[in-house]
Amino acid sequence: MIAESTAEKTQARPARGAPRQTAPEPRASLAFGATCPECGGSIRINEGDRSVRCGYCGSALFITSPRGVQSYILQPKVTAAKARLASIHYIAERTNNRVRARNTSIIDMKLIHVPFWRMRGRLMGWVSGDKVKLVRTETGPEDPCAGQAFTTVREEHEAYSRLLFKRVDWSTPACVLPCLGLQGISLRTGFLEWDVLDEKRRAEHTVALPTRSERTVRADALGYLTRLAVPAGTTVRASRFHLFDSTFSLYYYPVYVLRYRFAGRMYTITIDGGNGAVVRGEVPPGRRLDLKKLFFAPAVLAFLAATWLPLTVIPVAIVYALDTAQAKLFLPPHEWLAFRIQRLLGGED
Amino acid sequence: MFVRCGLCGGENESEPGQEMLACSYCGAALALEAPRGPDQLILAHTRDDGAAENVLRSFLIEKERKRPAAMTTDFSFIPYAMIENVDGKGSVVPACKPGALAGGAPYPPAGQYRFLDGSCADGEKIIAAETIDKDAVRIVHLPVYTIRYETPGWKGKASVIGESWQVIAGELPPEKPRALNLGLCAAAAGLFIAYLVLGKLASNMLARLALIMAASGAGYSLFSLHEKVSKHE
Repeated sequence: MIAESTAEKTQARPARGAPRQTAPEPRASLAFGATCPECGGSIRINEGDRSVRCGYCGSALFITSPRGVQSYILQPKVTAAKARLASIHYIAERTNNRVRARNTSIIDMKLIHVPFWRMRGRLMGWVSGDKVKLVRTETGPEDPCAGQAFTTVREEHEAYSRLLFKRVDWSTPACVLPCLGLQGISLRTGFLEWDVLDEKRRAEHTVALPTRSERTVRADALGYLTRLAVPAGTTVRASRFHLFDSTFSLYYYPVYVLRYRFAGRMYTITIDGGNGAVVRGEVPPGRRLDLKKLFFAPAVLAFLAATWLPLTVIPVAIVYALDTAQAKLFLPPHEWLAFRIQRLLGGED
Repeated sequence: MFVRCGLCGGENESEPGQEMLACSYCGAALALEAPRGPDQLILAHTRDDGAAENVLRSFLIEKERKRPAAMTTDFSFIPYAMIENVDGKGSVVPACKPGALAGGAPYPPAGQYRFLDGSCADGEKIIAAETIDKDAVRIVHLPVYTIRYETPGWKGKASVIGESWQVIAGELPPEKPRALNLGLCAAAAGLFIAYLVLGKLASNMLARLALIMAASGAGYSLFSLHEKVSKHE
């Protein structure tokens, strides 16, 4: 049984020609509807569905041209309060209790469902090149009692070629996330309960728009898998890889993003909405106190002063002269001294 | 954007990136017509000048620059074209003449985008896309705060992107000289006097050296031990 899909009626994009100088026309405000060819009842088709069953007559229907990609969403398992608590504990732990909740002010916290592309398919191809091998050779003297052995290391190049055929299951963020610290999600494990993303769930949650397209992700996946297929220390001369039977789907994973302020500066913490763990967090930097310099620099100066007082002044004058010569301008002595002490002792910002 | 059902004529609202939806009137599965050009989207954002100025202050503190004063903030939605070539390589370029920010192009923040319908709140300005690259797959209007500010002896401007709070600045004010930590200076001076007194007690140079080194070594060891214990706790 075949349900006539109306996707074929869509118009193709204009050919890539001269750049457009005006704003493009908006999306046409007409959508083509599909009904069951057997009973005429309304059928519900989610994005990426290849087959459905009619809810009225029970006919199995095959979609000839599926539209969109299958999208799934994970309900957050951690409440906002727990995520907040996890971030407060994280800050205290990472700063050795120097920064506590009462010292910080949380600016905002939002729950966002971050999209990840999942690609499943088969990779097939070949790679050839040179495998560089380091060979260590020990050469002993003719007389064993005469001296020590010599060790020489030389590079040996041997031809390397490999045919590769493997199943691939790979995920990558579908939008740019430079400060969230998310690189992928573990999808092979089956303990996560994913729901199909439909209009209702889309309206209920803050769902981020995927800004990286399927084509970009395919190119990234191919590059990554090709690098993975080649062992370390191998120079690739030629390679050709293809992805077969690849299917793409989108997974929206819940993430809490919390921003807080400490001493005028803002920091961001990302909390996994699935298990409450902190994925990435920024904390105020620690004291830049150099204990060695704090204890030993006065010791050296005190030794010189106790021996003969001018000995203390001479090294200071030499360093000042060198700094002035390097800067090629007059440095006010009091400013220079304050700068040098600051550099020597470190301390707070 | 509203789409009309081809079967019952009912109007349904679609979201960016959606290609299928169920008609809320007759329940039929609707396949949305593909756009004739790149979608024009806008990132949902509520203007908050104070937040943007705080982000800039935080950025300058992080970079150890002088604190800004006399800040003037201008806000607008600036169009950027998301370009993708045949190899799948993507980039973001401004789609209007004053859209190029000194210091680089922003990345599109992860957030809720809606179709651009021209409506905006009071005090907000949406700049229309003028030049659209042939490889553009999407035009996104990003909320950009342009902040003009001053530090003693320096004037400049920076841009803050709403939602991602990314700061883009072509040039930064001069570095802020760090203030002396008086507590540490007092501690160092105290140690110097203590070592000097110890050194004066010794009869010869070798004894003086041994005494001062022993005292400084003991102080350093005890303090390091104290730091380790407090970290462990």
